[in-house]
Amino acid sequence: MDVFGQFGTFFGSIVSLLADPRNVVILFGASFLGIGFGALPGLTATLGVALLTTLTYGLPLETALIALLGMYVGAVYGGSYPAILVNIPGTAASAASAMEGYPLAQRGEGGRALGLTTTASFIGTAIGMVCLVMVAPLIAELALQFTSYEFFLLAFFGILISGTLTSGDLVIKGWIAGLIGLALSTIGRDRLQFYPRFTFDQPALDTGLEVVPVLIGAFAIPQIIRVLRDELQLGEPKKVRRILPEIRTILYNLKHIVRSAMIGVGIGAVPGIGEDIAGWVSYGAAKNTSKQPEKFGKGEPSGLVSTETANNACIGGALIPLLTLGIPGSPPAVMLLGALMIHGVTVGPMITFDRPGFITEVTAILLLASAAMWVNGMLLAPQVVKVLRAPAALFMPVVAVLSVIGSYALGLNIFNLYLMVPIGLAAYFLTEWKYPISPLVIGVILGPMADENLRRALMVSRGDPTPFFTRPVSLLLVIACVLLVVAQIPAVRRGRQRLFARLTRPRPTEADQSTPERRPAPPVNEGD
Amino acid sequence: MDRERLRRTDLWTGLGLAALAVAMLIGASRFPISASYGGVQNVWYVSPALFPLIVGFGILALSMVLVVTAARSLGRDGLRQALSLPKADFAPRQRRFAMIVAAIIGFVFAMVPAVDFFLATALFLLVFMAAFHLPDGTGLLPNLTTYLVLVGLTIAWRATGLGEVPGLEYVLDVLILIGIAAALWVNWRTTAGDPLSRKRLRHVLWMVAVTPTVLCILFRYGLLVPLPHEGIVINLMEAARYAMRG
Amino acid sequence: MNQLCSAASVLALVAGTATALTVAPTFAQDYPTRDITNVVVWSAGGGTDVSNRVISEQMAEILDVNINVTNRPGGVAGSLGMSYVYNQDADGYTLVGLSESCVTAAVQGGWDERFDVWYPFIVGGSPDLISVNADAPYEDLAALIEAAMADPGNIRAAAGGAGSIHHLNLLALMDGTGAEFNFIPYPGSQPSQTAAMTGEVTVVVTSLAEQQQLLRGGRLRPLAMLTPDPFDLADVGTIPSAFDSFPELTEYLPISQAIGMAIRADAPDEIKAVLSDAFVEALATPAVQEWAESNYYVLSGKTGAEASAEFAQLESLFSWTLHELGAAERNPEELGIPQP
Repeated sequence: MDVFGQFGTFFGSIVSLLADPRNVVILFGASFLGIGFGALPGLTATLGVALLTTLTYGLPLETALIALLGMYVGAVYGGSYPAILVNIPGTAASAASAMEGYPLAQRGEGGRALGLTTTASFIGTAIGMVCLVMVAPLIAELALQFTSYEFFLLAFFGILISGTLTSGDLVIKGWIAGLIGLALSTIGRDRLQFYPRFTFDQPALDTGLEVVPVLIGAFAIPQIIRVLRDELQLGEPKKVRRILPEIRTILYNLKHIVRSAMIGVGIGAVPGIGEDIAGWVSYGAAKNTSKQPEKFGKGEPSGLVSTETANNACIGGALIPLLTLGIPGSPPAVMLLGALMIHGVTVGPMITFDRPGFITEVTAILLLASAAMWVNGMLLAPQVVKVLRAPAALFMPVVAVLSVIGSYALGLNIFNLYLMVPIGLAAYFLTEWKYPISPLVIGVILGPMADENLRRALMVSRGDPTPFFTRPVSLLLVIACVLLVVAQIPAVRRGRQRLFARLTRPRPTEADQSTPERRPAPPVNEGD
Repeated sequence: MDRERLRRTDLWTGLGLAALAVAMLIGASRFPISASYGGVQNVWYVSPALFPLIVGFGILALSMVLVVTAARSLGRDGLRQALSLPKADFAPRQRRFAMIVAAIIGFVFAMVPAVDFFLATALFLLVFMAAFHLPDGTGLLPNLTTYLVLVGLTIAWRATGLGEVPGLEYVLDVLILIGIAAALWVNWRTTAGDPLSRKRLRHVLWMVAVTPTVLCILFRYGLLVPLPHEGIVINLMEAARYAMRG
Repeated sequence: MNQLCSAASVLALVAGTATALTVAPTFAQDYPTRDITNVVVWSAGGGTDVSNRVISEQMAEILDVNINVTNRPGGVAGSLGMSYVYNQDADGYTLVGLSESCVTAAVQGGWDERFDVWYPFIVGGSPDLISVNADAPYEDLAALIEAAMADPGNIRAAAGGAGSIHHLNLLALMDGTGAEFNFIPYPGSQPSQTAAMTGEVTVVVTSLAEQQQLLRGGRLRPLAMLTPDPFDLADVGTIPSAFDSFPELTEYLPISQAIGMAIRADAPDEIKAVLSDAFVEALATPAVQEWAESNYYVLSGKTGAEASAEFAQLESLFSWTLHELGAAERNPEELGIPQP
């Protein structure tokens, strides 16, 4: 099908979908529900899509897809609400949004932050969608460049970058937090050989630590304690401004938006990782290319816009390998694959022959979903900001109960509650001592991926690490990791200030930059 | 926290983490390194010990760097000061911290697994909100005491194992219901004679009535999530639903 | 505030009596009167989950109650969900959605019960087949086996996780032909197939349902079905049976998937009968038939003694294979599981 034909079908499907008033109701309802799922700690996009799969079983395929994608888009966006307003990311995807969003809300600009988030999320989803329709086959081929070598390095890079960016104190403490997360992730049976590691003969530990209780414990509990202990007020209720799309700020940040959307689509397309990493990587990219990197962490709109664009662009990215290869690109996409199977659609390379026009239709639904999200968001945000006026003493206990039921809801496992509390307390003390918490959570999420792929990569090459440096994508990732570390060495930092930057400094050349224990321990600079 | 105090805590956490890393390395070194396990030919690079060893060494190395950095920036005098034990601190801030931690731990470990989720949540919200919402911290101690007593009671009841006996399933729920009444009474008395306190207590009571109801209905019927413990109230809700449906 | 106190105790009493009255014992004759919960032991979106959702939907219509499908993954081989359901009353209101891999929960140390505590209903499954990367030089199974014999242990093969049904199929193929592959474990079928597509491994054994899109799209080349019958796949042609070129495989194969659901074996017979009838009727509905056909599932519909026998056979096969691989926590002999 040529491009014009595609656009024809595209607008045709939009019109026919909107012609049925039931579709419109379901679209807005699902999007609204999705925002709720994203906003409540512990309710994730995955759970929401799973739930709607059951409820939409009896509906026609396109109506079901409207509900499912509306939920998915809404949930990824909704996670930013609690991140911005109370510094508790509703999903791991929005952890990076809290970095800039919460300071903004504390300055009394919570309404503005939500408005920016809404528009950035919409643009992100829309760009993801354009990629889905225009260059899907190309990106799918790119995703196939990722084998065990690249997966390991990607996981390692994700932890490294979030450790580097989140440290308010010494950079090394961010890396330590990431390593603690990795250490926690080794608990349970290892996924290659089922050998029980650090389980202390507790069957409950056999499957390892689940991400949701760790996420909730690590973010919600320290924040509950901090706010109530110091009798803090939530944000500043005085000047909740009018919420506008803020076209000017968006235009001003156009380069950040385009770059973040590309990062989001790319990372979304790589199977197994998704919104959480995309947010951090694009945040890092925004900080490194910004003219005023010192403003980051103190409420810089471009940082917020970047993360939100990227994590929503991920959705389109994640759908690309799902639809063209049958490989889900992110955890909610796994659930979406199941939902499609229930409706008798098997996605994969043959989808364009089995169901011509299906990809275009999905794209149209994605556009509708993001439009519904934008409208809902613009209507909801002014109301949601009012939460900040509630006394913290009434609000935080409710957050505590939500955290408890949220940790329980996904696996229906009471052990997850027992896990959440100690993790939360440990996270509280770590934040008191100025260790950032996000790298720890990212470490728990990506740990199994790093572990498994490192060993499998070595298995494939029979113990030979050279493919890490000879495969093109792999080499790029190695270079990115090395640059990230080298840039933190004080001498290099000074050099960079003199504009010669990294080039003047010879990179350490010995092999095995990829394994942390062989890397020369980097000197630490005093925090700034 | 000022930088010097931060470096002092760095010194301690660095040492603590190094100790944990050593424990992790010892644990990992006992994993099979070359024996075949799980039908996979085993060599060093396949071993389940590989990754924990790398991570353990990583933590050890970085925490040592942290200790050295901290020691260097503290200097000799600072170092001596850091090694002496910090003074205990019982400021109101610390009391509030204790209340939060006690409430959360009691709720999760004692109440949620054994008490009807509606009742457990209502009680938790009542004491937690009253402790912090009543003006000038007047609610803190009475509510902390009440909650600790009830948590103790729950633990004691669970220890007897009588809850498993048919016919006695709802005894604990009834006890907690009485406990809620007691907590209400305590707070009513605490706020006596002060209109502002009474007003705030009324806010709390509203929240206590609404939140568990909404949550239980939402999760039980909206999200189809069975609640952690379904006792007297939730079973009553369930019975009412079937009665209505006929 | 004595009024408050006494009001609360009165309320407690009323509530207590009301509950005692309403939760009267339900009789098996009028089963089902309440909603049924189906607890799937694998996570949402997988084959077991999807099958259970599809069948439950039809059974709900037949039984005229709701069947709520929830997921309780975790533990070892689904042990968390299984022990949860096993601890509920045997009143037929809690089903467990499971698959053949659950039979290993006991030997892997997940729980202490053998599989015969369940009364299973088997939906069926999709047949396994062996395929290779599209650029691999092997045009048929004989060529691949010949190459593997010439270079033992050097051709990389993926088949889900260690101890999975696909791994067992691969092992049976290796035993039956004498060829030796280098087995690389992946956490599931999908990553295994992706690895075969990228060329990280050459050979992949997974089910037809999981592979069909990739086969038809030319991303993978099918070599042979690991079942006695060949299969006609649209756009690809006939995939021959491995048994044609290697007749001695009949001793080891087929090992088929058994996705299904179960209730406690000690439930009343009336309830078992009601559920069995509803189950069989549900499988015959056009909706399920159509779903099975478009997803390359072979429906089984076994219930009762037949289904129990199939699971008993799978239990002995899986348990002893895992034991031989050294991946079993407990000796199957201790648990009283007979040798296959």
